[in-house]
Amino acid sequence: MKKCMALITALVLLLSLGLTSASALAEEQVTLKFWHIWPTDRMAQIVDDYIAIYEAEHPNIHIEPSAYQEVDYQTQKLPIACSTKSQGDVFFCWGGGAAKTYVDAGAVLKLDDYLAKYNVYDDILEGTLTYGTYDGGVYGLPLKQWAGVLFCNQELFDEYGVAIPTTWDEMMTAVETFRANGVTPLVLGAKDAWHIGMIQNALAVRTAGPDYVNAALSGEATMNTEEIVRSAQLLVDLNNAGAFCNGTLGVSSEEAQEEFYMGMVAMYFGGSWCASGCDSPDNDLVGKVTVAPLPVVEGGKGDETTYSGGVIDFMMVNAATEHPDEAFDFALGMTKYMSQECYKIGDSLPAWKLGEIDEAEVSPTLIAIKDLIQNSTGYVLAWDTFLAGAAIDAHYQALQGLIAGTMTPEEFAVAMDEAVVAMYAQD
Amino acid sequence: MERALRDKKAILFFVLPALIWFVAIALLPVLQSVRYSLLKWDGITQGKYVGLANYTELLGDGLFWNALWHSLILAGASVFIQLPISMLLAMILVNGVKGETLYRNIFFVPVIISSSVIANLWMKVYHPSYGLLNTLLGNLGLTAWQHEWLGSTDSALIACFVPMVWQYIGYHMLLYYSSAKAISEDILEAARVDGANKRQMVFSIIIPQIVPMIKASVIFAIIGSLKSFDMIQILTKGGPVHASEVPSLMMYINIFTTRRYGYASAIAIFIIVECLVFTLLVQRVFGRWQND
Repeated sequence: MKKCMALITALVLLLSLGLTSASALAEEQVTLKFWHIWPTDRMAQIVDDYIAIYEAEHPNIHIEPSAYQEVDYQTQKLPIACSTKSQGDVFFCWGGGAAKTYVDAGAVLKLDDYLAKYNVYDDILEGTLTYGTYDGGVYGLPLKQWAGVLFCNQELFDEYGVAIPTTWDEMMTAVETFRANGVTPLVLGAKDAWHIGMIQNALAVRTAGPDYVNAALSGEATMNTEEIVRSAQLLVDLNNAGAFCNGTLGVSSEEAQEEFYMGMVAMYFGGSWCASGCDSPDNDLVGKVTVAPLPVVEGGKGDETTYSGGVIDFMMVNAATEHPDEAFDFALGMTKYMSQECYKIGDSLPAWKLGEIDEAEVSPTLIAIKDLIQNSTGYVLAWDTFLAGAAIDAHYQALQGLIAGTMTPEEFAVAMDEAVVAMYAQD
Repeated sequence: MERALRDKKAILFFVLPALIWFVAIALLPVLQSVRYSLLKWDGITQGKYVGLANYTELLGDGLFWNALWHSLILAGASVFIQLPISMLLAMILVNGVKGETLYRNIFFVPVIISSSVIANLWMKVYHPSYGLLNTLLGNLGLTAWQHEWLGSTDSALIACFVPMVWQYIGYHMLLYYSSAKAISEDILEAARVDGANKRQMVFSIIIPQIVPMIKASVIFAIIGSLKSFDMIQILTKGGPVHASEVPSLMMYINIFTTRRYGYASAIAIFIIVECLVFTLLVQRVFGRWQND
């Protein structure tokens, strides 16, 4: 028995010796884990393409990608991994309220030195770093921009002789006309509360103006104002006028969006990411979509050049990575490449100064959005990405309450004020 | 046998692997949850000890009582609607109908389909515009009965419960069926010789013989209801406005949306204790019944 043990010990020692010498030989080999949220379709293709390019350029670096479904990733995978800093060396994350916890917990690498070293500031579009910046330090590379716009099915507008609305009165007239003709005016999947927020958040930009909403979301001004109440009231008005599909509270965002893509619905207020769906040959909308800013509200403080949207998608580097230089280099390359390719396929607006791009390659709907926002004067992020923790749930519940009729616009403003105040009181 | 039992080493040898396994994957997590439930913690940064604050907040939380009430309704529906239907089907099959095996398999199909698939199927059934249910009602001329099944606060809960109750009818049916089939032919033969008709056979012979199985299935049904999660998460996500929320869903939201691990752990502990209490209660009730 003892002999046996001795033999085994000797063997193990021998083996481990062999292993160390082997790893010493291949010291240059670096493996980087890359966590992202694009498991399928064209986005996955873009990621795979760049990994192949990068690995060819850097033979000593091996990229190990893991793709997750976005919601599960943001709500479960990342919080758990970040608590032990075991997320990928390079990982995708929302900025704003979402990454704040991780930054506070020291799970994210501060990038300022690297940005200076690589001279990155010149290539980044202005203002795109805002929501990846915490306490004056930059923690994320901006991936893409989005803007909330009104997608209109021009075919249906022509059929019923309705003009694309530019004011709120015209909007309500359009809603009534479509409803009277049995066409769902505006699609909404209220089961996913964020989908309601898309509309209400954009309305708040119209009524209160982007500067005020940003201040309120930052805890520097109160949410309980007439303008916020009005943004909720306009949403309730839409609902009462029958703007949304039947039983919207039981319909998910995907189902709702699908109805628009199938050409059954007149309007859809969505993010610029919907452009790729509008131009996809799989859907019945190619060439039929007109984009417009959300109609302006009389007496509101935000004109048609203000938008909901901004930069919330960031690439970040794990603070516990063993190869920070390589990780940053890869993150930078991937971010720039994706920013450009995502623009081409109509997924999002770029966050970087891109070289010449053949516009024929780009989704026409996205070009229309880009033209629209060229002179934009202000943005407000979706509230649920700006806020964090319990405030997000409070926002969701209040939005559903508005649609279900269990909460008045006044109560909505009070609830949001309480939630935001409580959120900043925690810090 | 006795000698084997006296050999403590042998006992240890056979019990230890399972014991370690049980402690590692069942007992330790529970104890850990108890510890977490005493913290104010976002799951990432350092937690802060707050004593029983989470529990006192839980007991004063109207939303929690609302969710708890929903899960109790589901438990009631399971025991008093689902199980009798299962029993009826099982007794029909046991008494020998043509195509017994075929029916048995058909009834069991929902059990082997994953809950998320069933939930997605039912979402199509309930869809307000082109759902099967509303279309059917429309075709029958019952447009007044058409409804936003999952989207309205007054029907979302019931709409969730129907597929949940339906799904496991086959499971409980199979439990009853197999245990009824296992009753010794001698007993049944004796009853028949004594001139028992089919009804008497069922109520006086078969059901009393399968009481242990009924007890087990009642416990399964109640515990399954108290910790129900998947179907509701997909169908309504607990909404609209908490109308179909149950405790485990609330726990999930508290962990993954509001990031209150401590509070969520308190809910978890409550669910565990609640399940234990109900199990003991059912044991008690059946114990009395069996003694009679």
